[in-house]
Amino acid sequence: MATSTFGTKPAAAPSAGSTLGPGITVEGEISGTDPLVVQGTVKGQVRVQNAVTVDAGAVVEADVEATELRVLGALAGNCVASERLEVAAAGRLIGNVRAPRIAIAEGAAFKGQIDMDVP
Amino acid sequence: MRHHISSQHTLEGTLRGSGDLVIAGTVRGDIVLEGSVHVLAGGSVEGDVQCASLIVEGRWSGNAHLSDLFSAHEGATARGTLSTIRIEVMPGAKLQLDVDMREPAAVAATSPPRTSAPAAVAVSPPSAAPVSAPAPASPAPTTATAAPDEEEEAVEDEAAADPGAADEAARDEGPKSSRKARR
Repeated sequence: MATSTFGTKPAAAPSAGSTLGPGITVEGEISGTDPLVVQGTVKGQVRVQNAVTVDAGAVVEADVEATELRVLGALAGNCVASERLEVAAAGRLIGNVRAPRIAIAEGAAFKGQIDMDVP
Repeated sequence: MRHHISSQHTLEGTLRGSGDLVIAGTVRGDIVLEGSVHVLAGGSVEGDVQCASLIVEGRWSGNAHLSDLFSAHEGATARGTLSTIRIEVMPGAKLQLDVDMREPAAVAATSPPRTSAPAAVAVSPPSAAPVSAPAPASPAPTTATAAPDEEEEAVEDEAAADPGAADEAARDEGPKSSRKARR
């Protein structure tokens, strides 16, 4: 049961960026300019002009646009990273990717097309 | 677990799950959460919210079904319908809400559907909207006729106690009371 917040100073905003922790499912579109960390489930579309991290344990079924995309969990969808895309050893990525720089760690799972011809 | 939507993010869709959600950005869609939802100043939520506690410092509009607390801070704007157990509103909050406050025991026994008529109390209506109380479950036709009799009896009692005052009342109130007073 939550305690009353009457008369108390509002809680300070956490550091910049959004975090969708484990236990939450988002269906829809997330857009914006701050970094995004996904630890839960996202279905739909992600369009962020900043870094996006699909953390370990996360499940993302969405097309993702970001400046920098790191995949440590499971991501199914087409990805466009304007700067860099990285799939960590524990990451699983199914979809077509487009990015000027791509790193796929040994042990990672990947299925899709790679396009690094980004101006 | 704490979830956070930053001020520079917009989420259109539904959020479901557990944990506490802090919203500094914009959410357009429904939220179903086992924990609390905290809309910070500058944050905005347009959609139905079903959770334990809803704390609003920014803007919220929609229907809320809460199992614990609704809290509106100074500067908050809230519009819609609210079903909750506890409520707190701080000076400076702007509300346009239909509020239904339930008993905690009732929540434990049965969680009423969200479509149940919540309009029991209107808090800070923008215009002089009438406060509508739900109609009694069983009509009591005798109540309407009993009320005037009680009034007459009261006049009789008054007359018995102080005949002078009763005559005065009779002059003021017209022939009906006058007849009673003379009896």
